[in-house]
Amino acid sequence: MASRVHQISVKLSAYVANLDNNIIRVIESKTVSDKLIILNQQQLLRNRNVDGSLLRHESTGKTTLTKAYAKITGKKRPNLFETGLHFDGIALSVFSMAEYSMFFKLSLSPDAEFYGKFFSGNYGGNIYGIAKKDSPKAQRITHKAIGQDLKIKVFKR
Amino acid sequence: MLVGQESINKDFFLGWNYKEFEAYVKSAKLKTGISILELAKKLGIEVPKKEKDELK
Repeated sequence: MASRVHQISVKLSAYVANLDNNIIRVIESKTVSDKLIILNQQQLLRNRNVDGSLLRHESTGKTTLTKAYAKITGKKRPNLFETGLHFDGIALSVFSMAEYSMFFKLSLSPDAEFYGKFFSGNYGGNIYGIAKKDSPKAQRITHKAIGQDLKIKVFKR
Repeated sequence: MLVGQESINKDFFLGWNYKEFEAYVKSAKLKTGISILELAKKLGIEVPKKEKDELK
C-alpha cells in the first residue's frame, strides 16, 4: 500500500505544480466548454443578460422589440441566440495568481463576427458570460470535470 | 474572435480554496491512504471501491 500512496502523492504533486495549465485544459475542453455555452444560451433564451436583467436595447431603451421587428420575428423580446449568436468554445488565460480571464469564442461562421459586434453595440457587453443565477450550476460543472480529470491523471494505474 | 471577458476565481473552478489545496498536497498529510481518500472526497473524486479498500 505504501508504494501506491507514494505513487498517488507524486502524481498529485505533479498535477498541482502544473495546476493552471491543468485547469485551463479541462475548462477549454469541448465537454466542459459546451456545457458552459449551453448555460449562456439558456440565459439568452430567457432574454436576460449576465446580471439577470432583461435585455435592453441601448438606443430605444426598451426591453421589447419594435412593433415592426416583432411582426417579422413573431417574438416580443430579443432572442440573440436564435438570431445568430453562436459560440465555438471557451478560452481561459491566467489573469493573476488567484484569477483567470474567461472569454467566449465566437463561432467561425461568416455571420458570427457581425453578430458579435452588432449585439454588443445594441445590448451592451454583459450579454456574454455566465449569469449570476447560473453560477452554482457552472461551478458544479467545472468542479466535477476537474475531479474527473484528477481521477484519470492521478488515480489511474 | 473572443468576447465577454470575465474574471473568474481559481477557487470557483476547483470548488476549493486553491491555496489550501496546494498546501494540502505539498504537506506531509498525504503520507497515508486515508488522507488521500479525504482529499479525493473534498475534490469530488469517486475512488473505485477496490482502490478505496487498498488505501484504507
